[in-house]
This record gives sequence, structure tokens and C-alpha cells, in this order.
Amino acid sequence: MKSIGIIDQIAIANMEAVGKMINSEPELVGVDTAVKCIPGFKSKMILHAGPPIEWQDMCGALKGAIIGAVLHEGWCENTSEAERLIESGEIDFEPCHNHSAVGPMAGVISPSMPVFVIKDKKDNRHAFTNFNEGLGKALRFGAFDREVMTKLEWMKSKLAPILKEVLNTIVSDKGGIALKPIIAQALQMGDECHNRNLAGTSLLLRELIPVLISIVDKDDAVECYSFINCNNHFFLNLVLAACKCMADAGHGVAYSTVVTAIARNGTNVGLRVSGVGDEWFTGPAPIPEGLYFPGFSKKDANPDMGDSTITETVGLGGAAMAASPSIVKFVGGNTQDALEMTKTYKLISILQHRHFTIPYMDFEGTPIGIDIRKVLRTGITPRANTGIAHKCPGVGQIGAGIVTLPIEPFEKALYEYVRKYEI
Amino acid sequence: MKIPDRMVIVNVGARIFYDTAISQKADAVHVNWRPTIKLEKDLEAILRRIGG
Repeated sequence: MKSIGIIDQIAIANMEAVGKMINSEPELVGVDTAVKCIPGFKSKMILHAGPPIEWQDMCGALKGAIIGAVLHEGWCENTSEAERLIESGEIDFEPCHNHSAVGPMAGVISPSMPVFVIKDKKDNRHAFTNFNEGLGKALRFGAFDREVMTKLEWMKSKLAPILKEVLNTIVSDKGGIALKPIIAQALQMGDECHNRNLAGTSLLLRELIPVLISIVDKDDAVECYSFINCNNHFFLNLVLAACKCMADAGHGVAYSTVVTAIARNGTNVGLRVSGVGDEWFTGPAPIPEGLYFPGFSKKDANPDMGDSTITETVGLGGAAMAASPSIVKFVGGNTQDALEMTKTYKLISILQHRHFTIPYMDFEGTPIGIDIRKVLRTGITPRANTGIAHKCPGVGQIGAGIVTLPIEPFEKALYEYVRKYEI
Repeated sequence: MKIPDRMVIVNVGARIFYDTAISQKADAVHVNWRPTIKLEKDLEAILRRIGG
């Protein structure tokens, strides 16, 4: 039998990787405590967004979120004690991605935090994500004042047990909440599912409310409903975990040049490639171009951060910008820019999604499967819309904008690819 | 040369010129073209071998 050439071999591998991403079926199946359910989590460990990084190299916003997590765990009483504990080396820091987890912005998950459990119905793969706190002063943007800490405690002691009970009931009645249909519908309703999750949050509430009002005390149900309803980004974390399931489904296909993770830790951008294994290829994290809250400007901005670019990896976020003309009011630009961004993604992607479609483009599928070869050949790197954190610990969100990823990680990935396969 | 009464601008490359023309109510179309990227020789050689 005639053997196929390397170019055909890559094409077949890429189709397999992207096909697995598209066919993944993530479901929300529960709420649990991070240390109890996340694989490899330890009692003195904190997970963060992006590729691996040491404390001394972390940006201000990530340091702020980690200090907040240390205080939240009750390991220390105040900031200076927390910094001493961290500098002693007693706490392990690892990327969320290395533990099947994802989190927006700082992406900090500490042992006692509640997390959503997502399961891929296709292959029993799991992914985990923390709860979204809302905009403004939030741990994920590096803030850790009393208001932030009170909310985190309420989410752990009140919201999480309620949602756990609600989800247990839903799962025992009819199985998990299928997330892909919600995401697909949200795209039809103006979300791009990265920085706009208004429709997704509303659709999730439609799933939760019937059980919430039937099994939970009325005051608790109202409190829980109000929190989710007032946070248009509540669904974001679930999208990320769903995307993690999808991307991981396409990871590990030999010879594939498809990107299966993009994540930033506020210092570096990192990416993984399906056929190259779990190694991170990094470059410097850029500062987004965007719109700032009153009193802030680009000079206050932290470099880009968060695991949320997992959305762009599977055909959402920047790749689906044309589905969300209204997002440009939040991140800057105009509707034509949104359309152009989606079209540009087509130039660096393998396929268009079968389930994620864009009404304004006559229901074309969103571009999916970023190919490192196409990125390098065209010089076009993925763009994402993102939140912007203040560069100092303890401040929080100061704006939102668009970030263009550097080319350096793609070059490093390609060099490793040819080394690995001896091409 | 006689300048036509109705002119249409065909903008190639940098979009800012097209946006400026449109903002002044000129008739314009934009061609989303960019020059071929010049790669390092070793990257170029790799891409020739593995496609892309």
C-alpha cells in the first residue's frame, strides 16, 4: 500500500482533532469543592490561569488574586502574612489547565472554593471551573477587599450548596444540562460567548429556575436567582469549562497542528498544540486595546490574562465576533470590525463549526481549529476580546478590549513539532 | 484628463483610508489584502515541507 505524505497525514490528523472538538457534548452535572474533585489538587495548592509561572514573575493582578485566595482559605489573617507565607514556598502554584480546569482572568481556584463539574457525554472527560463573581471588584481581576471576600464566602456557604442541590435534582430527573445547545442558541441571540454572555446566562436560568423555586426555600431561591440574574457574565465560566471539554477532546492527535489551548497569566501567553503534547509554548502577554472605565487608561492596564481564550480555540469569542454586534460597545470598534474579525479567523482555521453558526453571515459556522501553520504562513495571530485588569494588586477591572496574540508561541510550537516528528 | 463626475474609491490594504472615505460619504470599497509575510528562512523551509 502506498504510504501517504506528511502533508496529507497532517490534514487527516487535523480533521480528526477538529471533528472531535465539534462533536464533544459537554454537560453541567454538578457542583463540588475544588480539592475534592479536581484531579491532582492538593490542600496547599492554588491554581491560576495561563501557562506555569512562579510567584516572583506574576503580574500585580494575579498576585492580588492569589493573596485574596490565601485569605479566603484562612491560611493567614492579613496581606503581609499572606505574602510571607507565599514567599516561604509552602504553597504550590499550578495552571488550571494542567488539572482539567479553567478560570477567567486570574483564574484562581483554591482548595475550598466551589467549582462547577462539567462532563463530556461523548467520552466521560471532565472539566472544572470556578463561579463567576460579576464585574468590577472581583478576585479574578486581582481585587481582595472586604466586599470581594464577603462575596466569595457567600458563594461558598450559600450559593454553592443551593446550586449543588438544584443540579443534583436536575441530573437525577433528566441528566446533566447540555451546554452546547445553550451556547449555540446564545450565538443566535447576540452573544459571542466570551465577553458577552447575557443570552447564555438567561438560557441557563431557564434551566435552573423550575427546580430552584420548587425545592429551595423562597428567600434563598430569590437570593440565588437575583445574584445570577444580575451578573451577565455568570454563564462565562461554564462556557469556558465546556470549551475545555471540547478542546481537550481534540488534544493528543498525533501529527495534528491544531491549537488546543490558548491561555494567559498576565505575564505570558501560552498555547498547546494537539499533536505536540502538554508542553506550553509561550510569548509575552500584550496589553489589550480597549475602552476604559472613567479614571483609568492604558497606562494602568495589566497585560492580558485568563484562560478565557479557550473560547477562541473552539470557534467562539473572537472567532464568533460577527454574531455579537453589540459587544463592540463594550470592547471598542464597530460592527464591521466584528465581521472582519470572524472572517480573518477563517484564514487561520481548519473548518467551520457545524453547530455554532452566525445569523448575520447567513448561518455560516464559526471558524474552528486554529492551525499553527496557517498562523505562521499568513502572519495573522488570533485576536480575542477580553476584560482588562489594573496592573496593581487589589484594584480590579478597569476596562475591556481586544487583544492580538503574539506570534512567538506559534513559532516555538512549530519548531517543537518538527523536532518531535523528525520532519 | 477629465475627472469623472462620480468616483468610486477602491482601497487596498490599510482599512483606515477606507473608513475615512466612508465617513466623508465617499463611494468606496475595501479590498482586504495584506502583503505576503516574509518568514525566517528556516520557518519558510519547514512550512514548505509540511504545508500551510
